[in-house]
Amino acid sequence: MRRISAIGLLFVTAAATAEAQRASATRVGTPLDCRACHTSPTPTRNTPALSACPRLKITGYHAVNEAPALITLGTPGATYGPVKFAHRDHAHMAETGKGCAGCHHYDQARPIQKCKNCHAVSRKREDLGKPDLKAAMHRQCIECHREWNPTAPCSTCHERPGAATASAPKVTAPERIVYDTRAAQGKVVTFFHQDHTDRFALACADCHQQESCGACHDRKRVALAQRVLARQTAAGLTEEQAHERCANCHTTDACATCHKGMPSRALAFDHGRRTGFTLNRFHARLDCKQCHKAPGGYARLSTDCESCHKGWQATFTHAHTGLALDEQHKDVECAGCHEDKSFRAKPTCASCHDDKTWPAQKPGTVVTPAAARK
Amino acid sequence: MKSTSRRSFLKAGTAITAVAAGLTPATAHAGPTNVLSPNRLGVLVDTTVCIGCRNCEWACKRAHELETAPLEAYEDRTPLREMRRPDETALTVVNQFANPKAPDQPTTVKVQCMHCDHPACVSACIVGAISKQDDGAVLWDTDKCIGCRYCMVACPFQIPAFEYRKAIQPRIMKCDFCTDRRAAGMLPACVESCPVEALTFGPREELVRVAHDKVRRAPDRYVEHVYGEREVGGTSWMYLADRKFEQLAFPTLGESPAPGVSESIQHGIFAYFVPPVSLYALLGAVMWTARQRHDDEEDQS
Ligand code: SF4
Ligand code: SF4
Ligand code: SF4
Repeated sequence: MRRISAIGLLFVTAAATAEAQRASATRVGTPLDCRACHTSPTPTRNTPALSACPRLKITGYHAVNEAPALITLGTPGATYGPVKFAHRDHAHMAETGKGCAGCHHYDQARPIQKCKNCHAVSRKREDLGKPDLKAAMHRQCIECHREWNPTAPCSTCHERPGAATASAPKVTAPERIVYDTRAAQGKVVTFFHQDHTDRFALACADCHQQESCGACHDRKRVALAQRVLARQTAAGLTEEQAHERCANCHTTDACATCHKGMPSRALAFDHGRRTGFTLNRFHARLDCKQCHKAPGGYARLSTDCESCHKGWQATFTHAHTGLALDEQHKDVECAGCHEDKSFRAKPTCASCHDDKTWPAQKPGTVVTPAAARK
Repeated sequence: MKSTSRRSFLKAGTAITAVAAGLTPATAHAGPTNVLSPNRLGVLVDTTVCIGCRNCEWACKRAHELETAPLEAYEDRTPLREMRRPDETALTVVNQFANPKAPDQPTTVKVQCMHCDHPACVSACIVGAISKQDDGAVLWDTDKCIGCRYCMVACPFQIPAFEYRKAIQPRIMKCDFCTDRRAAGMLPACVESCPVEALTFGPREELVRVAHDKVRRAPDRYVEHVYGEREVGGTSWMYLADRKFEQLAFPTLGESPAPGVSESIQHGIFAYFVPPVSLYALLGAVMWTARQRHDDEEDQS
């Protein structure tokens, strides 16, 4: 009996060990320090030494706008003062990078932990495996700040009497970027950056994701100001990756729309030329999104005024155009005279009148637009 | 610093005289007994983290009452342009190397005494003025030193420096692992001042573990080599880097302790001669006085 139970025990132990090995095999080699989850560097199956899991307190992800705006970091030293850290601004910028997780590691969906929950305040400590608080903070900031200013002095962030705290190089969005691509035909793609951001009211993070700080705060680009940049398509990018950003919107365009033989200098997007609907001076002032409201693209809209201007006729005062309609013409449909609703073309009289032509005869009296407004 | 009784100094002196008198070299062969404490301390320098701010240089000078510009003057990075060695005015210096991975962000490497486990300087010293301490530090004793500068020749890292400009009681100057500060419960000055903790201070055994752990978890960041873990029999200060260490001006050294080499020089070539110490001392004294006078004249003019 005793023998049997001994064998049984052996079996159980063997199975348990095998399982533990399997489990640890999946974790060994991850960039995680064991101590992210275990309080001991040598957890065993019987004493796993698990630390209180922060996942148990999930409160969810909060919006960037709810992030604290300004945080004062550090304590005043003899030479350098503390850092006034514009946290929310950085959080906004981080949206084009790794998001909150770029700094608050292991923490994306959980309540944001205080750095000092893991990073020791004192440099004299037991656990030498991770940097102390001061070092963790410095490394976090310096990694990006060194990218655009390798000689950044401490006073870049720390207040120092007599020294101006420097700021990051201004983001000078390029007017256009000329890509030198690998395409067999039409090697050159001119991307009108400013045109896209202005006309389509795009936010940086709409296109830029997983970007490093230096991609925008690029002191070299600032030095180059608005010059045209020739860029080799980053080696190793698949065709799909190279097209990813453009193809999100340009779903149906032919290759030749972007791929040309020469850098393009023409205005990138001429609404009239590309769509056949020339924007008048009122429409030209609008953001694209004010008409093309549907999310995800810029689908062709109906040119029927009423498709946007619901019931607009009721309030349209023709006198504003410089011609006050007379009684007979007041209630005529717009398209009755303005064929195809093209208000640039001559109005026609012939659909009703055989004997009348515009502008010899007018369906009303000429007024000055200003007088009509009074 | 460890104080030495005049008697032990005299004893060492007698030994030299004995060698000088032509005794067999075997009597002088008794190398320093070197029982290494498992708890000895060290520092792990991560050159991939160092930003070259030279706060460590400043802190070291302050802690050792050496002349230094104010901390904010160290924001100027021009001194990094030339390669420097620690000397009698700076026990530690930071050198800069081109970084092919990020040309704008050069790699910077702090240099100081490695506090070898089997120090060549200790073996070379004929009067026992340098000794390896229990806590890992290799310390120099002003009361014993006769100024022969054998240690300077012996050190594979060219660390000990000599106060040539001082006529009276010139010192051998090198990192003392901030022994006085540590005795007062503080960290070494450089370690304390490093903003990014490129210098991790702790028990050497733990540091070796931490170093290998770092390499294992970030194989793209480091080469698989902890410099100083085995070099010349191990050193208390160890380094991590992203490239071969010779590219960062580290000497390529074997694993056997260097002392063997210098000991054989010391006891082989010089054993049958009158130690050049006295000659050195005499020559040196002439040189210093001459120099001193020269300096004085310069000062006056
Ligand atoms: S580095 Fe040189 S001075 Fe320092 S302990 Fe080793 S041999 Fe001695
Ligand atoms: S340990 Fe002390 S003496 Fe040695 S380099 Fe650091 S500050 Fe200087
Ligand atoms: S203080 Fe630290 S980061 Fe600065 S130069 Fe010295 S080791 Fe490098």
